[in-house]
Amino acid sequence: MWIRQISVRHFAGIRSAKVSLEHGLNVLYGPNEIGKSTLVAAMRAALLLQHGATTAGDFADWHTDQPPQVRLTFETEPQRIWRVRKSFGTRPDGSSYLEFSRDGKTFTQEAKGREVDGRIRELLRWGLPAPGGRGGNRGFSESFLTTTLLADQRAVAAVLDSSLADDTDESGKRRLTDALQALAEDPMFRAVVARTQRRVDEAFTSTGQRSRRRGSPWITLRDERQAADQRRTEIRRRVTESDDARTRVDKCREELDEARSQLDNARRRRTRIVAAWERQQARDAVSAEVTRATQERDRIQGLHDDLDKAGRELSAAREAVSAAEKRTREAAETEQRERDGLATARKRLAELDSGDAQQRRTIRTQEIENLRLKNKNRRTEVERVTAEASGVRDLEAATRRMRADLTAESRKLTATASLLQRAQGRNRQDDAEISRLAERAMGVKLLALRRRLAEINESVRRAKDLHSGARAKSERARALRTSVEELCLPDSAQIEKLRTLHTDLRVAEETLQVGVSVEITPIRPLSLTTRADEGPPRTDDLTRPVSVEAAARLRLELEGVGQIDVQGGTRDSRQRAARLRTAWADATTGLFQRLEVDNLDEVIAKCRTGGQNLAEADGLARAAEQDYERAAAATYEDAVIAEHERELQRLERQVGSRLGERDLEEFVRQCASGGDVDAAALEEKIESIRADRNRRTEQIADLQRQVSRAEGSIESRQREFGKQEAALEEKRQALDDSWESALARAKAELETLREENSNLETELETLETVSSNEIEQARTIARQGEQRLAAAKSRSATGRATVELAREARALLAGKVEERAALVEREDLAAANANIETLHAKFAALPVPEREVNEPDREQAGEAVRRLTEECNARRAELQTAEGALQQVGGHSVQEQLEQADEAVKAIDRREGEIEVEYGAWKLLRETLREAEAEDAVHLGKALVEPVSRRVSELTGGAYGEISIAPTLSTENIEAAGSKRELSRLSVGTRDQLATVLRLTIAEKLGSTVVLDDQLVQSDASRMRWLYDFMAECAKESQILVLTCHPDQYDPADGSTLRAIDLTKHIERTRP
Amino acid sequence: MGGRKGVNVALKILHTADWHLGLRFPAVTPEQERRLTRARLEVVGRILDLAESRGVDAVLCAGDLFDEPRPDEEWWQGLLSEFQRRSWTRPVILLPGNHDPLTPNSIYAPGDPFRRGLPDYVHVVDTDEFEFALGSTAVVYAMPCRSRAGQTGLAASLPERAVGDERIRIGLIHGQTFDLEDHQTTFPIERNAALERGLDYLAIGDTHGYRDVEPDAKVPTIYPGAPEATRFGEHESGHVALVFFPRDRARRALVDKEAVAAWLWREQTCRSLADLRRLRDGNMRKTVLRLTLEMRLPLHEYDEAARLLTELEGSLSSHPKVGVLIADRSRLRLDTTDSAQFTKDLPAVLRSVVARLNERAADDPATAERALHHLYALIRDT
Repeated sequence: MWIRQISVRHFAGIRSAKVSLEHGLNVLYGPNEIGKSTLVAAMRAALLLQHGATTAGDFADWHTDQPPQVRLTFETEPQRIWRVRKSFGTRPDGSSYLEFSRDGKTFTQEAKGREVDGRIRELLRWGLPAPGGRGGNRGFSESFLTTTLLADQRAVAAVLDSSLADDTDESGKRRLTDALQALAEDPMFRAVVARTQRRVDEAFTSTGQRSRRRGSPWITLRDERQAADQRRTEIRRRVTESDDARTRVDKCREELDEARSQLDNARRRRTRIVAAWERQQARDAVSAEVTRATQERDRIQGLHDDLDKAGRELSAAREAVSAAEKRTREAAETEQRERDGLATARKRLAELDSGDAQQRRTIRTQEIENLRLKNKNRRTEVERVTAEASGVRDLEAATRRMRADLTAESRKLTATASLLQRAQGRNRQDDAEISRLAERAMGVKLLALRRRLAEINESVRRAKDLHSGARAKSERARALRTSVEELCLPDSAQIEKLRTLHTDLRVAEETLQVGVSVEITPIRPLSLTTRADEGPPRTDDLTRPVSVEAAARLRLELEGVGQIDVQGGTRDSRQRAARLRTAWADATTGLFQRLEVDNLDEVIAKCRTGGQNLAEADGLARAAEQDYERAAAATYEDAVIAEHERELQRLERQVGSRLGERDLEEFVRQCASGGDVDAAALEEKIESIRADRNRRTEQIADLQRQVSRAEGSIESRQREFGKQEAALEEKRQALDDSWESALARAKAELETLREENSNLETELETLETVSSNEIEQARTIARQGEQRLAAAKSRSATGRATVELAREARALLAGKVEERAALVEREDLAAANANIETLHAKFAALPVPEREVNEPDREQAGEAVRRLTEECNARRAELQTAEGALQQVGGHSVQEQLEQADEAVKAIDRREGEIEVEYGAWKLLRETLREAEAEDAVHLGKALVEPVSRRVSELTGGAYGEISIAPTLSTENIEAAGSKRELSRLSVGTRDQLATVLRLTIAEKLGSTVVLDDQLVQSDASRMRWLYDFMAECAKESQILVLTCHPDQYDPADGSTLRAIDLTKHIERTRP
Repeated sequence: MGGRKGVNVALKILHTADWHLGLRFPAVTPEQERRLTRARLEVVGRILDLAESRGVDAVLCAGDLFDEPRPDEEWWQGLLSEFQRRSWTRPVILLPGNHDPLTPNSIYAPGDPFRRGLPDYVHVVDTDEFEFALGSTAVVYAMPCRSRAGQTGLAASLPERAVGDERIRIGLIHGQTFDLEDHQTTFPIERNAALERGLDYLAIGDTHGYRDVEPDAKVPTIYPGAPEATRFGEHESGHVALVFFPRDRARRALVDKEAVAAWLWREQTCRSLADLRRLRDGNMRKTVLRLTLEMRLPLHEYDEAARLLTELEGSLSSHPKVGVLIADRSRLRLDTTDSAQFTKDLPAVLRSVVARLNERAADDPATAERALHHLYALIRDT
């Protein structure tokens, strides 16, 4: 952005002013109080102050009621020119307008009122907050960039105290990032980003949407797709028509086939119905004859059946009479047998009821009772003897058990005593093992400590080696970096500018290559020296006309006359070429000399080599850093080493005292050869053995207590055993025989008694049972004989009555048979049967109809045939119409075309998929590059450190080195005399100069306007000279507005151009 | 008359069909389509050259000579030029097929510029009773398609052999001899039609692959097929039939299948870089290649595959190696395991980019892998 013009009316002390400005360096000079700072304030007000702001009241003209007015014209990029007009104050005086123009002459309104300030902030991107916020109407909006670019006179060095961190809006930071990031980026990364962006731009808009401009792959694809879809739709329509036509044909054909089929069926049905009707008539006639013949035959057969039935009944009656007579005879015989049995039973009963038998049974019963009493006494004696023998037997068994218990307890005591002895022996072995292991553990500890000390010493030595190696790498990296930095190689942006300049120069030179030709006709002989273009001069004596030619430039020296320079190209072309030559020389002379090269390609090669050297230096620095870290990790503090050594000595003394006369080193060697056992394992083993031993000691105490208890118990039991044996002997003597013999005898005696008692009881029961049973049995037999005799008498009487009835029935049936036989004799059954068979044969010979039919059936069948014939004719006509339609619309060929169209759409789908992946990949790559770039986020300060530090160093003759600039561009300190110095400790002049360099550098990088209002009043002449040169350099890329009352300090002695503006001619002050 | 070893030939004809001049190939690029459509006209020239070199007595063209009833002028004018640049007396008979049926507005209508421009030796079958005598020994009977679709077999309309007619009788019709389930058969031709109508040869067109319909039949019924394939998967296309009629009429006419196609339609899947390299080394200027890349390659080989593909496809600065290439690279995958090697010497920020793309590959492998390759190619060229 640069300011083209500022106009002011009634603004503070200025009644009116109008100043036109140029891109580059503008020096606005005038005496004090002319209104320079007011002009700066007007610029700031136009851009940073809302027209109704409270602060605007400070700019009121005391001598008029007119509101302060400012009109500022500025250009953001070629052909984008903006004019802001503000009249400050509240309504109706206050107003704001923003206008736009491409040519700087014709403006159209873009915004007005409060919108103006919002639009200006968008255009400037200076990190200004949106207007209208809290407090937004009070004063100037400030940000890091307003401080940098539009600082007023009172804030010359304010930029040194500012920071992007104070900005409430990100736009300033983003703009600086865009401008400065490129300075800090890797050239390869930048190239990749640029090429990726170009590919992305082919297909996407800046907002990431698919591009709709001409040539975009999406548009091309869309056009192809539209064409393909259109073609496919058209063909589909034709296919649909064709399919419809074919479907119609198929349908008509099916309907015709159906109608034909139905007609055929109807005809067949009619034929079948007529045939069935005729057959049915014939069969009905024969069937009626058969019915009549069958009825006649059935009547004759009924007579025969009656006769047969009566004959069978007569035979049955005769057999019944014979059977009744037989049963009567058998009943009379049974009655006689029952009468004899009854007499025998009555005789036996009388015998059992007599007195002798009863008396014999009583005497025997008394005898048996006596024998049973005697046996009871004998049993009591045997049981007494048995009890005594059992007592002896039990006492003997108890004595045996007591002896066995005593023996077992003695054995147990012996075993416990043995266990006790073994445990005591093991404890002694463990004591010896613990002692041996403790000694070895000390040896192992000693050995480990010695090894550890050796490792520490080795590590310390290795750390020293790493450290010295790292130092060498670090020095090499520093040397490489210094060698590159000393060259002050241009960065890629500068290279790109040089390329552009070189190309422009070549193009400009080419435009001069139009060819020049001069005809010289001498009036008199003369000496002519010609030089065509850059060729060598050539001298000829001219006596006749000659023609001299060159591509672009021709110099003719006419001896004694003068020198003529002829140049090709238009004035503009020549001026442009001259400007570009100058610019090229300015840009490259110093650079080529410094780099000792002849052309741009060599510069680029040097840059590439420089980049490689820097990369190598970075690698070496990283390696050195790693070595340092490894060295730090490997080294040990002296105190640690000393502590280890003291511990070793203590342990050696301890082991020595334990070994006594034994050699310490021999002991250590034995430990070393004993395998890889560490002290902890040994101590753990010792502890384990010690724990076992303690457990075993507890067991020994327990065993000792058990032995003591067992010995007391055995003694007590032995005493009881003696008493028991004495009692047994006494009882044995009381028993005459051994207890086994006594028991055997008693048992045998008991068995004998039990058997005798049993016999006596059996006999007694028999006597009682036999007498009562026999009497009862005799009485029962007598009663049964009486009952059977009564039944036999009854059956005999019934049989006789039955015989009489059977004889009467036989006589009746004989009469009936004779009557039926006479009727049958008069009929012929065989003839009737023969007639029926003849009629059946006739019926079977007639054909059977398929179904039953009647007259309406016959009429319906005929009607159906007529109706279907008409239907068939109608369907045939429809089919012909449909086939005609199909022939016109397509068929197979359109189907093929549809397949092609589908194939085309698929191909476009495939291409679209491919393009989506292709450009999606470019987009993804761009996004990923951005993400990585953002994460790698450039330390914005880094981009400025080099140019600012270099320039300050040049300005101060090397008195100051590198300036520290934070990521948010806040300046922190500066290197001087080998140390970092706070900026506040610099002199006012140096601070001003440092601030100026920083502001100009930022303005240069942004390509923006920067206002220096009495910025360098504290500078001496030599620094002023340097600063002027520096401004001239920066002014190539930016617009610098210097407001000063010392215009002589900006004398363009080197011929460089600046625009000097005498403000006295442009500003009209308010007169009181 | 000579022409076939061991056969005393009475008549020799060239039978062709299904030129489909003007056929569109919308699935390929306009330039590729132009090559393929031009090829259809070029093969007609070769067919006529073949007829001349073999000295045939007649050329029978069995329908579908144009893809549309009203083709663009480029195609009928091109065909007209082929005919007009020959000063033949040998008859050429053009039969309208179902793609270019004989209708009042068709290219074959009497007043049409194409029809008017045809030289005298070219005859159009424009009547249902078409009969053309080839000298005194042979006769051609033909019947045109008058619509795009038809349910009636045209062979049945050809006249039967009259008693005492000893000439060689050739039938010329367009239609289909098959009757597949769910297939719309157009102008059906009975498989034994030639014998039924008392013909010695039935020249038919429609199917794009060469086919002897009944190889064991006494009378040949032949589809010569399209002289240049029209799509992938067409078997036996690219031929014409040279037919030799022996003087001994008891013998079956002999048919030679002659290849005339210049273009080969081929489908191939490359599963290794070596396959792709072999393709690059081959000569496929006249090949329509549908190429599927199905492989997973490390970055440098992926890059080589992409460049080989560009070589095959051609670019602004190089001719294509393949006449028409339809490449499907959706299954060409990048094996990212060696990307560490590639990033070894890169600035940290680019190493970070590679790492991020590798992470993205888990979600959207196709795009992320392609992006990785773009980056690789950019760095390679930087």
